[in-house]
Amino acid sequence: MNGYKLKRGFFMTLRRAVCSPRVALFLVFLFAPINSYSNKFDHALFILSKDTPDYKKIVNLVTSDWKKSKSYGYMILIDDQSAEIDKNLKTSDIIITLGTSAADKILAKKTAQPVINTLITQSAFKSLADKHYGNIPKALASGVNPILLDQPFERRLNLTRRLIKNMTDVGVMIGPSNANNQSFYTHSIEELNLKPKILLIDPDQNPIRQLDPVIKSSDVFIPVADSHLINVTTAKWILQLAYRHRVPVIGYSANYVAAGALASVYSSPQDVSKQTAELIDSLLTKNHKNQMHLPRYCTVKFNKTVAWHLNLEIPRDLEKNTGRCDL
Amino acid sequence: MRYLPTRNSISSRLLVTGLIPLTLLSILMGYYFISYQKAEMLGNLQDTGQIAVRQVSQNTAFALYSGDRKSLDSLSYATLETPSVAGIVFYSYTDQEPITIGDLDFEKLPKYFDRSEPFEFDGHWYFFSEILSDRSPIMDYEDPMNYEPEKIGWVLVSLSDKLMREKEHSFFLTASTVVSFSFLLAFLLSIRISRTVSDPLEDLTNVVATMESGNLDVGASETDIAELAHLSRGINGLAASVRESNQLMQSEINRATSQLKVALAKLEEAMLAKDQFLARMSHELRTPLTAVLGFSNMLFTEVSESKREEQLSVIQRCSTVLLTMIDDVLDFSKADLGGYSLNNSSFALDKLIEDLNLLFLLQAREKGLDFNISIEDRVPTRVYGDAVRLAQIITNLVNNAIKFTEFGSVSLHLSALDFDNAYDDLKFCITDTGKGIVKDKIPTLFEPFTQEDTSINRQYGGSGLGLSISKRLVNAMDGDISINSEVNVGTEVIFTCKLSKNSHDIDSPAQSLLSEMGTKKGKVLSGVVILLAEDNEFNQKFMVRLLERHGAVCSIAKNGQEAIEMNDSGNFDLILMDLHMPIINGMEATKTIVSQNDNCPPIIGLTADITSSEQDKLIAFGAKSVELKPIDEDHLINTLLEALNLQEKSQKFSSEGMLAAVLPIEDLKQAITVNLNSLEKCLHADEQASIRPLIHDLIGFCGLYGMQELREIVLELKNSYAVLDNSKNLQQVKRIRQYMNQSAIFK
Repeated sequence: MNGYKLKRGFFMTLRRAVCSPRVALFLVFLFAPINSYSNKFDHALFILSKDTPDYKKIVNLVTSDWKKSKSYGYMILIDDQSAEIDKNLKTSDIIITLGTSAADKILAKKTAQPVINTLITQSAFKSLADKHYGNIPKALASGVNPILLDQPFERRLNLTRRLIKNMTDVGVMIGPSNANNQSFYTHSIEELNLKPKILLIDPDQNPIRQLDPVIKSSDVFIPVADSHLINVTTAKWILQLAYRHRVPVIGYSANYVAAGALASVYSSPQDVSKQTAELIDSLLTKNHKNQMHLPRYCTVKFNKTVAWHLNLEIPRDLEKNTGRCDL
Repeated sequence: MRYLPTRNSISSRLLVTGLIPLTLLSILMGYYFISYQKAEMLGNLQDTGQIAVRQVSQNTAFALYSGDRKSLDSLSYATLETPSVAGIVFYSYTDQEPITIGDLDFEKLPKYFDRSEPFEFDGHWYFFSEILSDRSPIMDYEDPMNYEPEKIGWVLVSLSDKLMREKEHSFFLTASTVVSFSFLLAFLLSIRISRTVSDPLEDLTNVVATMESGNLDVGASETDIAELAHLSRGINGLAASVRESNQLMQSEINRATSQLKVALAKLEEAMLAKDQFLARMSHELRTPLTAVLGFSNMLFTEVSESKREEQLSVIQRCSTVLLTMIDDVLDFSKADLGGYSLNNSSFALDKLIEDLNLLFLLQAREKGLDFNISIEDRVPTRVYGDAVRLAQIITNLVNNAIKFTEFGSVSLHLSALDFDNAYDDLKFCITDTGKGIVKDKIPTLFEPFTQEDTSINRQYGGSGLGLSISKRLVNAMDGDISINSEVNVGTEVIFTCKLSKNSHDIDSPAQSLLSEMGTKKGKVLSGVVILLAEDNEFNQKFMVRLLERHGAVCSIAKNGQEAIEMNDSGNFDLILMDLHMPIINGMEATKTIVSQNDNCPPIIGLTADITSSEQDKLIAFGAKSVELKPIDEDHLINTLLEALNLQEKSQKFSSEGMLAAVLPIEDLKQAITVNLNSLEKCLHADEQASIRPLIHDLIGFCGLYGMQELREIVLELKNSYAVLDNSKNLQQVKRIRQYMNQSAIFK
């Protein structure tokens, strides 16, 4: 029995390890090829999916110190300057995409230059890698380095635990892209002696009718970012149902907080630009290996109005550290 | 008077002009506001419906998607509380079953309708909207992927238009009331405006009508309308002008009327005077004519020579009176037609006065009156003028004075008023102590046919033309005549005349006649053959006897035709041509005779027509001169002598004197006898003062009657009586008596 338990426990631990994002990333890193680039990139091409202040801010932050090294960035908007992209691709040493659409465009070209995909979720990157390279390892092998937007679930769970003291039932919604990780989420919750209520959303079914019983029976609800279809279909209903049942929601973006979530852990433009800059530098090192990069930095945001309505008090230490990620 | 407004009146036109646009404006405004309000209410209804359906679609998306009927009902009923919202139909694409809330029968609605626009059905407006589910990913860095909102169902909101209809009806009533009041106000305003103009115009019209009826004292009142005030001033000015013109015209009419009245009165007086004159003239003419006819008849049977002479004397006197009357009338008529033409010549004024003195002295003494003549020393003895006309004036006036003076005296005073280089301005003053003339009658005395009163004519006779003729003659001599008289005291007649100073050597014919009064009659026409063209048998005999008496031989033509023929065949020294004859009148005959022979005998016309035009015409045809009927024998003979160029004979020819035809010879004989008796008495009594006037009278008588020899005997007495003794003077008187007894004139 014990042996079985030990054996079963070993396999369970292995399985959890293999199935966890970290382990998955580790494996990708392990098999990823090692690049060797020159000392510096003279020409960096930024491809933006959208002309928003956040996108431009990220570019500016990344290129703020480049004047010293005489490198420069060239920013192109993807939608209206396709010809410009092709023209500059040849002269660029590195390509940085911002957003899923930009990544889609560049990955489709399978360029020889190293590519950094920012502002992209794991599910989106997987979809693009499958689409253009067949799978993620092939994409990585081709010099693609995504910096994912998905904050580690543990950070959100830690935040939830610190915000809501007496919770027992933790509802989690996952989509088809995360269906394989359902046990990871369950295990993570259970490790905290909490009762997981995992909802694998079916896109073809009425989301309200799927969400309503889970949210209604949970003390807190944590939606996991999935494909855009899942996100747009469920986000509004999650917040409305949570409001109706007075269940706090821990979101994954600043907009989620603005829309009615109690708090969110997310990647701010500063967080993204900082990690991007570090990745560019890393690409110049001989030991660099192409891999999917989890967000190294994070930012926390609270909705005090929601907290007030839910009679929740935001801990002072958390409130002071708003914008810092020490989760 | 107020004029009722008619279709063509200004007030009605102004009313229509003001009312039509205001009415149209009111109607248009009413229509516009009603339409606008209707559209506004429909718009509000549709806005309400759109808002309601949008709110419902947005708010009920969750309830519909979640199948929460309770929430759906709750949200729907909240919407149904909105006015006009009648019912709501929900349809979920998930359940595919309509949910009806409120008053709405979904089954009755048309199955197919335009979902993009509201539609109206059965008194309700329906608004459709899809119920969408926002599919926001709530991501911080959204990709440009478009996530269309998910259609989860639809909602149909029904709004009843009942409330809108009620409001519309209410507003229509309000608008109609406002429009009606506006129309009424416009109508009243139009009336007010029209009356503002028409009332003053009517007032002005009434004023003009009043003025037209003759009352010009009314005045048009001025209004505050500038144009009408100007018109009022114009009407008032016109009325004043017309009033002034009327007054002026009225005064002119009054003046003309008074003048007409005066003229009418004068005309009536003149007509009366003329009637009286005709009656008088008839009497005056008939009286001597009766005597002429009576004594003429007696002559046929009278065998006594002395009685025959006496009867002939009466006939001659009566004829003379008749001739005088006719001469007066003709003279006046001649003056009336063309005025007097003076036959001026140089003559001795003193001699003329001296001769007239004898005449007047005789008449005055017959009435027992004294007659005196006084001549101022400044009066020239010789002047140039018409002596005959001057003598006529003096004779008329002095005869009148003697005629109307029963006792006392008559005097003639001659004075010189002024002397300039060309004329002698003489003044003649005849004064008498007669009955006088009433002052009022004096101005009328110079009118023709006028005497102081009708009794005068009956008492004194006369034509009544003497003063009138005298006045015209005086005026012809550039003088004036006036009468001063006092009843029962006397009368003073003063006349002036201008006589030229130019002296002439040859005396006038009258002077010749007067100076040659003593020339004996002779057959001055001896051997002269005369053709007398005269149709009247009596005139033929008269003219033949007269001419034969002067030695002429006469042939008679009964008309102009015979005269022409006889002239062609005969050898006549002269032709006397009566103008009015049968077959060919004297005018044509004269013209023919003259035109046939340049050396034709001289032709003397005979006519009773005194108009100068006929005389001038005859002379233009070639006649030498024209003699007027009745024939003045002396004038005729002198004219014949002149025409025959027997001037020498003419100079010597004189009839029995210029007064022979006026005063019968018996009267002269008696007057001279009375004078001689008085002269003898005075010589016996040695009354020197009375002798001289008597001798002067004798000289005058002799001159007037052409008794030159007797005049020379009297002149001897005049020149010697002062130096001779009375016996010699008495012998001279006796010598005069003897001459009278021997003279054929007095036989």
